[in-house]
This record gives sequence, C-alpha cells and structure tokens, in this order.
Amino acid sequence: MKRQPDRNTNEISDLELVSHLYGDADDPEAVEAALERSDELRRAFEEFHRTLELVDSEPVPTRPSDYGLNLWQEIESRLDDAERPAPILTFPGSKRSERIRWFGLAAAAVVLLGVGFWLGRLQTVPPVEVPQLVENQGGELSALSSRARELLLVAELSDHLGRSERLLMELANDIDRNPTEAELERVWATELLVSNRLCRRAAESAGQTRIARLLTELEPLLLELAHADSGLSTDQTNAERIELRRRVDERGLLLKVRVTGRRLETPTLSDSL
Amino acid sequence: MEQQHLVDAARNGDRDAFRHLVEEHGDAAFRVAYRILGDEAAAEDAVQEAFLNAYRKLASFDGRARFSTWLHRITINQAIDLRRRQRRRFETSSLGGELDPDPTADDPRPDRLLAAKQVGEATRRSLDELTALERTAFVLRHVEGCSIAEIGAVLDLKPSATKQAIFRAVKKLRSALEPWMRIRHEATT
Repeated sequence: MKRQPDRNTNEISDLELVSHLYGDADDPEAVEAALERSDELRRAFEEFHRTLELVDSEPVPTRPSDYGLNLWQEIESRLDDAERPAPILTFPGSKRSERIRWFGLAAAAVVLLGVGFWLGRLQTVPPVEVPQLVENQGGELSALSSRARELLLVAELSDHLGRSERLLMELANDIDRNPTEAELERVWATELLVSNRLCRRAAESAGQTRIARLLTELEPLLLELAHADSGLSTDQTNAERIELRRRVDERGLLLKVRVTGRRLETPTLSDSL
Repeated sequence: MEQQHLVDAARNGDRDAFRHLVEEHGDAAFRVAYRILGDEAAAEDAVQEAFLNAYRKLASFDGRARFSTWLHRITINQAIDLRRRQRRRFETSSLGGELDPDPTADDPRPDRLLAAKQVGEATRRSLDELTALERTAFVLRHVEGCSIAEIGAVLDLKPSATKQAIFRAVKKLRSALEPWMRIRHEATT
C-alpha cells in the first residue's frame, strides 16, 4: 500500500523519521513508540534507512598518511596568486559599492529598531491623536518628527517589499542567467535576506502577524537564491530557478508581496495595517 | 594551537598556521569531495581549489560554525563545480559511457548493476539534482556528521529549516535511488 506523502497513521511525519535516523528528532521516544506500534511506519523508516545505506555503499578510498603534507606543498606555491582584496560588488541598478549598501543596511537596522514601536503604535494609538499632538505647542516638534519617522519606517518596509517584488518578478519572467547576472542576483538576495530578517523581527515583536508571516514565507526563497551555487551550467541554473518559481507560484508569493507593498505605500491603508 | 587561533593567525598572513589547517582538514575535505566526484584525482583537485578559496575567504569566516564545517561547504561547492565541468565535457564526448538508463530492465548480470561504483554514480547524479542548500546540508550531515546546529550556523538556517533541507534531500534521493534499492532487495531475497 502506498503511503500518504509526509504523513502516516501515527502522525509521525517523514521529516521526523529522517530526523530520527540521524538522531535529530525532537522527541525520539515518541518516534520509537510509534515505530513499535506501526508496521507501515517501520517499513517507511527502513526504506529511508536503506536509501542512506545505498548512498554509503561506495567506499571512500583512504589517503596516505602524508596526504596533508603533499596537499600543502601543492597549495603553498599558489597562495601568492590566491591573495587578493575582497572584491567590491555592485548591485543591479546601482553603482554603489557593497560597502555602501551594507552601511545602508546597518542604518536600516537602526531605523527598524523603531519599526516595532511604530507598528505597535498603529495598533494602540488612534490616528486622530497625531493632529492633537501637533496642536500641542510644547510637543509640536516631537510630534512632527514622530510622524516623519513613521513615514521613514513605512518607506523602509515598503522599499524592502518593493525590492523583493522586483527580485520575484525577475525570477518569474527571466529564467536565463549568465554567471555574472547569477552572482549579482546572489548578492542581491543576500542583502534582501538581511533586511527581511530585520523587518520580520520588528513585525513579530509588534504582533503584526500578517506581515511577519509574509516575511517568514519569503525567507526560504531568499535563502535559496543567496546560497545558489556559483558556476552553474545554464541547464542547472534553469532547473533550480524553475523549481523556485514553482514554489513562488504555488504560494502566490509575488501577489502577496505586491499587495502588502501597495498597502504600505497608500497612507490610508498603511495606517490601518 | 586552538582552531580559532590558527584561523586568526592564518587570516593575519601566518602561512604556518594555514599549513596546520590544511594538514589537519585535508583528509576530511577529500572524503567530502570524493562523495560528490567519485574520482580520486578529481577529488584531490577539488580539495586544492577549496583550500585556495578558503584562504581567499578567510576574512569572511566569522567563527559561528567550526572551521571544518565552513571549509566543507566550500569543498562541496568546489566539487560540484568541477563535476559540472566534467559532465559537460563528458556529455559532449563520444567516448563517454553512460549509466544503464533503465536499471530495472532484464540484465543477465544484476550484480553489475549493483556494483558499488554504479550506485555511487547514481547517488552523485541524484545529488546533482538537489538544490545547493539541500545538497550542502545533506553532505554536511550525512558524510561529515556535522550537527544540525553546526550546519545551521554555516548556512544561516534555523534548526527546523536545516532539518527540512536534509529531509528534502533524503526524500529526493529515495525517489532517485528507488530502482537500485528494488534491485538490491530482489538480489538479496
């Protein structure tokens, strides 16, 4: 009988079975107990076990004891050529150096520390209080700067979603990638990954579950793009991008990012988030 | 000298410290590369390139993962790159022999199909089909026995995401190796 994918009658998932094989299960006793109870589960477990045995069936030749030394001798003469400063990378559509971008990110991190405050404030403070503060002579300046800060913070989140949307659109519309473009995309995804985490943490701490959920959904995709192999053949690159595109389509991720971004860009809607 | 001290010293241009790292981690790096390449000479080439890459990138090693885990990640990428280049040459060469396209077809010598080398090649082809993240997580866990926490640190993943990546890899391998598993099962019963 064919098992349902990733799920079995004992409510022990295939993920837990594989984790258990490696000794990484969260609750190994529960998995053991379930294995005792269910033949079906044991068969699935053994199947995973056999797969991994098969992977190991080809022995790895051992190296002679002086391998390390010989390896060093091969490498040593090439170290001078290997020494070079870290490359300055540029981003698509930008001539700013990576260092400048990372400085920008650091600044964004500081700004985003206030996102939680701002998002929380939207929940607890009615919009009408802003003009009231403006009318207060003593608090006029701080009220205005507070509003300006809110706008900056909205812009930061909006900018992140806008850039994420562009990346997703490139993924959706443009399969072919030459090595330079692929490298730029990896750097771009890495940068977005950092800002995504900052935004997500801010949203989580403010209890903005909808935004946090969206950013959580976005994160694995950014991770895959950021960790993509260099030197992929065109076919391999295309295959990986098609798979990622399928995942984006399946979850309607592009649409979600776009809609949320538009909501933030529209003052009335952003206030009602 | 402690690992971190060796790394710090190597980063500051101490070649003797880097030599220690090469001698200490060369064997393990070879095992990782061989699992992906299945060829001793190619694996040795990949290890050399991996160490040179590691030397260039030492400044970016932040110490969150062990040096060996970080190095293995570089080795995996290097081996994969080399394997792709080899395969491109292989595929364009009329001399290139292929794996039996249908391992379940009648064969008077099933032991030939069960030869470890063939299974090894099937495994490597399956690894080719994984995403970079899945492949790296799987090789680090399965071949090198790195912990979930170590792999998470080097790939910047939470434990749950690390487990997911390994699981996806194993699931894909199970599917790809299923014909070989069936043959092995039939041969042993």
